[in-house]
Amino acid sequence: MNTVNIDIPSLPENIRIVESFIDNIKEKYSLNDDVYGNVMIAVTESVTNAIAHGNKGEKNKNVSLTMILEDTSIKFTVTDEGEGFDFNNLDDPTSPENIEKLGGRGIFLMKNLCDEVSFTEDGRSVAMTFYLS
Amino acid sequence: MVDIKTTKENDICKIVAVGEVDASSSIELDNAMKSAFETEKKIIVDLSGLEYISSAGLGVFVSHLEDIRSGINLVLFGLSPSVLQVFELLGLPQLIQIASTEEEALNKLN
Repeated sequence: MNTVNIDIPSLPENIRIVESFIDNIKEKYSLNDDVYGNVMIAVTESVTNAIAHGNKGEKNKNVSLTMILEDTSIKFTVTDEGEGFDFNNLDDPTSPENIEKLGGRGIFLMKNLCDEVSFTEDGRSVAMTFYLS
Repeated sequence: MVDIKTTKENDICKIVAVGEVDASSSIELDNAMKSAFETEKKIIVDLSGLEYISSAGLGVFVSHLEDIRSGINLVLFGLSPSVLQVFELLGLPQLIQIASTEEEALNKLN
């Protein structure tokens, strides 16, 4: 099992650090393009939410991103220092009343692009698992 | 990081986006789209060089639905399978025209 952790100050442009982090993981562990594409979207959406909504862009607060590589899966955990949110009560962005809204698609994408997702710590932390087979 | 170029040939405006439209760089796509929608009637967007698009990037296209309804023609083309998958997951092809190739995009304009 391999584990890598980085702490990211809550600045919007730091999403590039996450993109580089995922690119490096793809190279190092030879992720296939499908898994890589899903990881890139789901993890960057999650960190974007953690920076903007969790930590409310306060740069002295960090987002913790951890990758755990196991034999058959790769798991990413994203944790912020905010107040959490009600992850069981989210609108469906594909329903007619929401489809034209500008936002509200990030968590829907996360849930649909990873194989397992779980929110803990009142929504401050989310774990996303992608199967490698 | 995203690199965006806008060109105009005859009466057709073409926007080419290359790279990653994440939450941060979606502002650059938004600026290019806003400028185009202010003056143009026929817009095609080449996304063949796009590695991924975030929900913020999708929001840029959704923000112009009113303009599209008011008669401005927008067609996206060249989406990679993973980018197209995101549009389809969210049901956006029912709101925004998507073509495979530039030729098909130009045909959809007419």
